[in-house]
Amino acid sequence: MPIGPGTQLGQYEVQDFIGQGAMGFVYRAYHKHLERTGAVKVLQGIAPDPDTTARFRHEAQAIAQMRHPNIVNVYDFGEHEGVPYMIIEYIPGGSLANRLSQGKPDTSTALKYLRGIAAGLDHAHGLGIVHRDVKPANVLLEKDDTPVLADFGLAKLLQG
Amino acid sequence: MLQALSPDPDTTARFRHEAQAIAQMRHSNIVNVYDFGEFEGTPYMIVEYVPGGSLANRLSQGPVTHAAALKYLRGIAAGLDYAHGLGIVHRDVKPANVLLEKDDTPVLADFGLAKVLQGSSLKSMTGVTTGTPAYMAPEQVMGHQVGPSADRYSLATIAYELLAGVVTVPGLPQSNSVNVVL
Repeated sequence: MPIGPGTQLGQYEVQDFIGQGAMGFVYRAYHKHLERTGAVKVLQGIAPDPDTTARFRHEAQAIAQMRHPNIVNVYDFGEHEGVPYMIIEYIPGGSLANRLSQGKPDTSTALKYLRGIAAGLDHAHGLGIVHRDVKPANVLLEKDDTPVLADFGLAKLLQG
Repeated sequence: MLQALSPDPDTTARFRHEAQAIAQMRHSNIVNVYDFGEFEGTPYMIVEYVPGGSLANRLSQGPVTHAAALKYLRGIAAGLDYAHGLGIVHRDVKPANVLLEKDDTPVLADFGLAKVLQGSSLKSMTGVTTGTPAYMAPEQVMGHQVGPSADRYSLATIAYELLAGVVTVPGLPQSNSVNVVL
């Protein structure tokens, strides 16, 4: 059985399909004890060769190192019947790309986005992590418009 | 883990309630929860590991500089303000429940006594005095209704301790200090 609505991943139950990312599918997920919604990224659709699997795990590890209000949190990582998945926080406001498609934000909102993205990047860079795919589609928005950097799938860890 | 004490339904419910309260919050000065479950009947929750120990532990090693004290107080205040905005009252704010990041960012933990406010007021737990008296607001000691201001009272006692170097009610850290607070 592939991962889909109804699949139990640890304590999270997979719910509806949210979208397709660079490395697979994204579903909403619900932790019934915590009463919290998360998002599960599933590495499938593309055949998960060892390289892709390693990069997927690498993304989760990069996020797991960071603790910053402008960077997405990861809750769990695992495999379900050989298919790797990661559970990250669910950011309810959609992406900045989506927001921009609805029209130009006012200057103060634009500055709020830019300040947040800059702060998140600064934190990542301080830990030697380069995102390498910073774009409006990879910036998610909180309910209060706080921008949250996501999709560290291409992130590179600087050595030394 | 909820172990050593036999997990009666009330305690188990409170434990789960703590995890749910934390799960609602997303703030740099509040601890994150990753998971919650049961292992062979024993409930557990997985929270982030905050490496610097508690503020109580830091204070036991000697006084802190004013700059550090202000950093702690600002962070605790920001975390409480955020929690209160979501209707969550901590009810046990004290140095032992403030953890420190590597860069000295304070992180509020131990929401085991947290109460989620319903509407504008809240029913206190009748007959039960919860919290740690040396840091507790008088209304909490007396078992009256407790709201965000009780947490702010506790914050003020921490401010006093950080800046004056002594606790507000010396020598009586536990239950006997009730009368002194009053």
